[in-house]
Amino acid sequence: MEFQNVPIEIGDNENIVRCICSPFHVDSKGKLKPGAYEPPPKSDEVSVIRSDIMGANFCKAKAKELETAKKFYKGLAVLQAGHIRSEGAEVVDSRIEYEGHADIKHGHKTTPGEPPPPEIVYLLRERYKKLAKIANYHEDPKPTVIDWQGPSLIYSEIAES
Amino acid sequence: MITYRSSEPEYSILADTLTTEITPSLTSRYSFEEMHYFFIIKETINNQSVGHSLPQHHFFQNALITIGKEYKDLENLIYDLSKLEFNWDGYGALSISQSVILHALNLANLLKLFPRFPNPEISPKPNGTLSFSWETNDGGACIEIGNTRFSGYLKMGQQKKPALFQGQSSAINFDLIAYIYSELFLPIALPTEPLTRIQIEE
Repeated sequence: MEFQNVPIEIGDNENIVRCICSPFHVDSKGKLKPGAYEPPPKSDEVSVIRSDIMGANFCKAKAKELETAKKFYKGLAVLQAGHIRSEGAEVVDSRIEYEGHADIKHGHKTTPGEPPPPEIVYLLRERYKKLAKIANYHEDPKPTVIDWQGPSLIYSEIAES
Repeated sequence: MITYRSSEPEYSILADTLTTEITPSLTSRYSFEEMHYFFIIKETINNQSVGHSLPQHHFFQNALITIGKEYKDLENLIYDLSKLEFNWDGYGALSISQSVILHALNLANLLKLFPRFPNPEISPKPNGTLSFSWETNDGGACIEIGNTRFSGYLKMGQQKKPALFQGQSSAINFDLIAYIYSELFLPIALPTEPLTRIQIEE
């Protein structure tokens, strides 16, 4: 399907992939950290990919583009859009970045160098924790190869890995 | 001389201005003429007695503070985080400022006073703050420290709403830490009313 024919609306059952890098998205035991769903400064948006449309290999390629000298690609985390919405956030198509790109919008921008008000600290921390807890995080079994060779990027209540 | 710490800036008073009463729990109780009773947990640092105030209803047995527990790991972690450079997460995260580091070290020093207080998980945040958090089966607490302000909460399982706290980063004090400690880690904590102002959302 041509991408321009892909509806801009994201259905609740659509799978949404977050690219996961170490050391700040996973802990020493390889478990997804709440920080994986935390936006950058001055923003309330977390970049994700519409994986049902773009495919696993595309997701992996985009994830590897994020690597730096101190940031290493580790794997992919899958949620459904409905999970994100049920936690009070929104997920919207943002194809202006690239085709297949979407954003989780938390609705609260941070002020550089200062914490949000306490009620927002609580709200966001609980949300990040919940998203990290329910996500299917798949550590890439072969991170150096081009293709994704891990489990299917279809959300499962019981993750395969 | 006893160094007395309260929600006010630290100051020292002479021991002979206090009346002393030793309780069975080995914790000393002092009173000031102009104040109501306080329990002061004593310890000795460098041959000096150091005391910390708790409102009377904060008193709990077996909470005598001892010294000697090493918190070097905590301090070393904070120092390591001070070395994070701009864009440490690859998404434009800010570095952790010296102000935040100093406030974090102050918090680490307060935690030293509670040998049974588990070390927190310390996380750098993309906006250049540091988050200290604790999780138990019964609840959790978090303090996020910024250049000038801190925000945090404590949520116990049975509570519908969390207790919220915020203030100047320099105002993070013993009373706040004692409140979190007593709620999260003392199984039979008495009702607390810390000196730190706690805001509970209606």
